[in-house]
Amino acid sequence: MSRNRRTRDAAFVLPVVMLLLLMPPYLQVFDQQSFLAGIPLLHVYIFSVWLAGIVVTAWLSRRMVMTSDTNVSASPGPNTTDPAER
Amino acid sequence: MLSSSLIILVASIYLGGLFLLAFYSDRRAKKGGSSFVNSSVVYTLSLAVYCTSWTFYGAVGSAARSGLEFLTIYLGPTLVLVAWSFGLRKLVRISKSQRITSIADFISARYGKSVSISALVTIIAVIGVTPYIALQLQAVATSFDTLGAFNTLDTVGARRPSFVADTGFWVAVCMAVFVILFGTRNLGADERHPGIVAAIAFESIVKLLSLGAIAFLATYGLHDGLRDLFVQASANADVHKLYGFSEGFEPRWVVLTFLSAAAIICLPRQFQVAVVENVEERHVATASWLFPLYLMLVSMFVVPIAISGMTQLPASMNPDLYVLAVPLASGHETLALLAFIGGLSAATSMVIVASIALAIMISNHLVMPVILRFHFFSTHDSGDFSATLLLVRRLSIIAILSLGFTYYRLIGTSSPLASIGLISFVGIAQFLPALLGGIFWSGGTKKGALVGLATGFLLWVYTLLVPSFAGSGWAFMDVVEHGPWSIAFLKPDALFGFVGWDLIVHGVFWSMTVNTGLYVAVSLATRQSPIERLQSAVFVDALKDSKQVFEGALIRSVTIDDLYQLARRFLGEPRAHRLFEDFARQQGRTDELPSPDPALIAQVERELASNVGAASARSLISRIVKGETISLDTVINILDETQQAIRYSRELERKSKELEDTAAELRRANAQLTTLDKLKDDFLSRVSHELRTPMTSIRSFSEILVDQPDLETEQASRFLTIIQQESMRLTRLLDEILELGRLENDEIDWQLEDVDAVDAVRTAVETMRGLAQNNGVTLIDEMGEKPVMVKANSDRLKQVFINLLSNAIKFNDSPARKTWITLSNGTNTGWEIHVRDNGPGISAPDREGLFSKFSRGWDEHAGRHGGSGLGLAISKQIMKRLGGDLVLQPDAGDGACFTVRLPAV
Repeated sequence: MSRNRRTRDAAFVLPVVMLLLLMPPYLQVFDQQSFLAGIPLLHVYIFSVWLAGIVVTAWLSRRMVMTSDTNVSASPGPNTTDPAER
Repeated sequence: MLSSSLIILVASIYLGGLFLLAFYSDRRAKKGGSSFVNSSVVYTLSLAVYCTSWTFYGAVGSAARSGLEFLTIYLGPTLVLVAWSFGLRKLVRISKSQRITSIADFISARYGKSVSISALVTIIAVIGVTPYIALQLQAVATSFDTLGAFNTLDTVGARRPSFVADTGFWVAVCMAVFVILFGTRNLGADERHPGIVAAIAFESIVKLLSLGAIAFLATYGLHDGLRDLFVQASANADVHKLYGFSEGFEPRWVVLTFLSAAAIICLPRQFQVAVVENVEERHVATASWLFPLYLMLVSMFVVPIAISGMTQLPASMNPDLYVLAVPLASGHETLALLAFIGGLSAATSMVIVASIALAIMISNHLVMPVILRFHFFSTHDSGDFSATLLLVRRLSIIAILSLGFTYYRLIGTSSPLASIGLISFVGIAQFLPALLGGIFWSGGTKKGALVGLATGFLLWVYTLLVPSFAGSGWAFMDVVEHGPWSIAFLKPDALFGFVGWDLIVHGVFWSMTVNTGLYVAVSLATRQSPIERLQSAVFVDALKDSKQVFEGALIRSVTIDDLYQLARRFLGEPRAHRLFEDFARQQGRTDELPSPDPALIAQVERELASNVGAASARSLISRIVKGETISLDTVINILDETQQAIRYSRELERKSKELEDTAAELRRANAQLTTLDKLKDDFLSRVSHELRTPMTSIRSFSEILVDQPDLETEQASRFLTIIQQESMRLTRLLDEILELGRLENDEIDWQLEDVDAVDAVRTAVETMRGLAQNNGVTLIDEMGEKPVMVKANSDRLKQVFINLLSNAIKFNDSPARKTWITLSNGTNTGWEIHVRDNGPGISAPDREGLFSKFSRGWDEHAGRHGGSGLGLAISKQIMKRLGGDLVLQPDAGDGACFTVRLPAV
């Protein structure tokens, strides 16, 4: 139960954190004319935040689907299995 | 140089293949096979209909013109998808349970299935999306022209071709035919189009791959990897805006992120694919990371193409065409053709889904209500309605594309794609307050939503659409330049003196703040109708697990015949038949027609809503039902969320009180048990002690007799007498213990009869007179001659009095020993007989537990006076069994006074 709750809370916090990191005050910290491995620092920063957000979302959504699956299997419902999900 | 005929041929083959794909997947879905359409990947790819020509061509153009700003268009949707578990999931769940067909349907269903709201939302959507469709036409047309005649297009602002010679016209015609073939072949059980979903998913792959191919070419064909690309480009001053932000980028950055976030749910086509076409809720979970990944890849592809275009193409080149121009200029014609196909994919998928979504909205929310009003359909023989619906939809599609084409002809070609698209985004974002307020705030009212939407829309027209008309030199130039009636204070692009703001930021600021403000204010000032309250509860509490039955809340009655006719005409004979048959079976009826209970009416309304929208379905149903009332009790029970919380907390309170009581009871029982346990221990130790005394004397005297056979006869016989007395005492003691045990365990069955208590007591007194005389005690009988009838057992009653009298006689050691026996009326309806003596009385410590077995004073006196110490306990038990009681009167100075209470007959 508390695991579910933590997942839910994390799923709420994640978009908020991403929004903050991708909005001006934080963004301007990396607004410099310097390069990291030949790529502008700002690009590296934005795409890293983006990718990290995607990875964490994937992890969280998998956990949420798994927990809701166990709930569903307890009560029979019209749930067709989806091969692409497994 | 590619010839036009080759381009047309390739495009036709591509579109033909697409049609076959859609046709094939429709077939498979209809057969019910677990189609590949039913997968989370396809769902995600269908969401990518978000990436239109604006993305494909316009993002590169935007990057070249204003740097990293283009990213905001993809960051907004990313954030919305990342927050899927709160927003998108709720929309999907509500839409499934309510059979929602479009965003207009959704908003109107939330606000009491209002016809006016759905119509207003439809109008806003059509007008808002028109520039967007124009954008696609423009993109396809110019890309076609560019590909066919690359060299002639270097000059910006070429002469406009005539109407029929305009490529855009033919693009519009092709698309209209395509969409009609695709989207309106039949009316499904719901507004799902598996074939179209499959087609646009495929197109999403095509556009991603072709954009990726061009980006690959730009990075590794025209440059030597990313490092080379960025470093080489940094020589070009113009490119620097791609590496960092320009001064004052913040407002646009924030506003554009907000707009794109709003667009991903509010755009009719996005709502269509993300919510209406959603097959399973869990697909959203996969899309929550897969779709952001798609957007990130697209954004990554944009930068190299933009840099290559800026460094290697002439400055006069339209940046929106870099995607085509970069491969063309470097001689990669096949890649350019691939890019064209990618752009075509992006444009067609948008136009297909957008026009289908809008056609559904127009037919359900604008045309249907009018038809229902004027063409009163109560005539039962007016036939199947679905044909009319299909026709309406086809005409709507033609109308939508015509509108898009008109905008394109009048305004389009001069503006960059991104700026046209943004105007659309702001228009569509007007839905956001009503939509979000609708699913998170149960207080939003229909009037609030209407006022907010209408004013937001008008402000959008005034602050964004009018300036865009003026910018293209078509109309309103005067108003924009000097303000209406030359009032500069009201200029559309500097409303109320907001001079110098960016046009989009300005438009968003005014339309969104006024829209939201009025929505909230009017909602607070107005009241919800019952149906609004019902719907608001359904929408706001959609994610809660409580299984509430809302169906019963609406009490409606209808004849089954009317209901069937209605269902048949709008759903078609087979569907209606199946629906009613299923219900009849559920209700356990043998004949084919179910009884028209509220559940069936609600189900028919939902099915109708999936064809004609909630508002029209409601008005259809309300024409045939009678007595549409909401039972007040149900509503109050269901709707007041606080009510439930209160009930819950009360329940908790009650439970905890119960627990407390139980605990207290247990504590009491425990204390009682401890006392009883102690009493038992006492009892046992005393019994064994008391048994020991006679046993000891019996043993010692018998030992003397055994050891000394030559004892004197006289002494021996004295010893034998003692042994006999002691053993008799033992027997008596054991008898009494046994009797007390039986009494306490209710094992003795007495015959109760009407007894004269005075007579019984007098017999006992006479019995004891001898003993009294021997002890020098005078017994004074003051009961009088009148008989007192009680329900009792005469022998037992005598036993009690003999015991009391013998105590009074034995323990009295005063000089003039007396015992009185008196009679009085009891407190209630009974009698009381008192036995009082003038002896030493009973000391305070002895009073407590006097009636318990072996009371405190027992071993001090009992042995001395030859009693067992159980007499009072036995007497008390007997009186209890007789329905009376035996008590000791409070200390009255001298002597003790016992009272026997007897119930009257």
